[in-house]
Amino acid sequence: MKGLLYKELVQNKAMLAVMGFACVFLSVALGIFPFISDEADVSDDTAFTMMIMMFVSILDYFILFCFQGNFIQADELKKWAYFITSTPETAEGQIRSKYFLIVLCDMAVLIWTYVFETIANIFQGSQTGIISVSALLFFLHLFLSAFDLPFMIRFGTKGGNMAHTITLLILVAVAGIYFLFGDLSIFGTTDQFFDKIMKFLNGENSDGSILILGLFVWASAGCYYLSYKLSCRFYLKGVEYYAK
Amino acid sequence: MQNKKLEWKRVIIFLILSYLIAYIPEFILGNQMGNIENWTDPKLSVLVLFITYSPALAVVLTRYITKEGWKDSYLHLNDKGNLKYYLLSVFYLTITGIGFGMIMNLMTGKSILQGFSLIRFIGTYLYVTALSVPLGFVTFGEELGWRGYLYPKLEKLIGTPLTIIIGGIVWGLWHAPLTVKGHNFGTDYIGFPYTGMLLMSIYCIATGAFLMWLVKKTNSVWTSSIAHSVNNNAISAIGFTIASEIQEDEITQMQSALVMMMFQFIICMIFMIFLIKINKNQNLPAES
Repeated sequence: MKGLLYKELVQNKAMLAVMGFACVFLSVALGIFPFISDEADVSDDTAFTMMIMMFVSILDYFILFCFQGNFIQADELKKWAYFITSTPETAEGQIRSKYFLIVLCDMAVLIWTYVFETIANIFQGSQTGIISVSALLFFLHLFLSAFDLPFMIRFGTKGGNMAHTITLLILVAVAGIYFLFGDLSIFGTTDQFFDKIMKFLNGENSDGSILILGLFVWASAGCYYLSYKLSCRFYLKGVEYYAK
Repeated sequence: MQNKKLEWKRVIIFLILSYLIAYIPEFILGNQMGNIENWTDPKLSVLVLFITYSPALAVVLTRYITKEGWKDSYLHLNDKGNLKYYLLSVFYLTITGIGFGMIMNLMTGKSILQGFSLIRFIGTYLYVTALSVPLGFVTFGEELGWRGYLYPKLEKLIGTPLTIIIGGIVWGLWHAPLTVKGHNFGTDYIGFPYTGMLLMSIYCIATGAFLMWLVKKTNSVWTSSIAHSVNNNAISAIGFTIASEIQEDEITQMQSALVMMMFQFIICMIFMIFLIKINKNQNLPAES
């Protein structure tokens, strides 16, 4: 696995650099927003900084989710697929290195969020603590990837990306319809919404919501593992869909 | 002989560096800001990360200075066939949290599970343990230094039981500037701050034994990083879910820390026996 992981890092170094740059650039671009804002009270507002931090974290995971297909695509060659299956590593090692690379990227985003939040707090004098939110997003990303990756492996990245895009479009459409016509009173006003987030960060959750969160994080990890097992099974079937 | 001398030299360089890198910012902060409850400046989170990574930094510098290279770095995951140890690193120390909560209830005159909500307990338990896994990157710095470098070296030089004791004391004293400023125990207790430093060392001896056992079993510091993260992030959260009705003025920080440490000491010392057993088994062929 060590060797395959090294191969992944070398093979995808350009993509990793682009993703890293995108994450850092977006974070910095959003992070300096409070400084250039006309509203004087915003620049030292902890709630506002927190909102920016959370947005940055969501965007970083979203970038990872959008680009992770490239890690799979990089090895879409029939010759490589049959070769790696014949080695002692087998298809399992190949899939394992891909899944592990995605977790590594997830960890990098989590660490970056921590570092960036610290830097932002120093400059803005605020005291935010969104690392637990970022860790929760870490599991959310694993959960979404668990459904995304087996499709890419079974039907090739072309087919997988189609499923990926359709799913995203459906989600966006459902969210759009809900925000246009649905009941938004559950979110309350902006202040109430942030109050809820602050309560969540301070651990003031109802019994039911904390149970759902607890089950969700472990279910995400479990789904990711099952997805890996499923992908191992699908690997050779997906070779039929490779162009070369 | 030459090898032993070199190993001692490496241990000493590592210790000097890891203490210096951690102590200097801690002393400056302590002088400027007073007790730990005043350490609210956001700049501190950079320093905290820097301090927690000081043993890792010391490993890098020691390996570079002594031209040691990166052999036996314990950096590999080695997860294949070691899933049970990874699971143990996530769940084992949570026993402390459960015991701590129950004893705290009894100490304050409540029934053992007074105010206990099973749904809240399960939710909190699952949530904090899961989140502690990715947050292991915070404790990784310490683990790379202590369990990934100091403990294996000491074990070769002075044997397993002494490594657990001396390693634990070294690890405990490394926390001393924080203990002096009220970390873990507060400042309101008999023999402050020396009692706190002594207790911290005892706690580190016991916890260190478990973490060392994990590293020995998996040859990876990742398991101990996860267990350390669970220790820092999950235990008290789990404990206070059980002891949810305890008010702040009912129990002092020292009392609650003592209960937690007592429990941790009991559940971790078992591993000292395991470690000595492993060592004996490993030495058998050489002795015969």
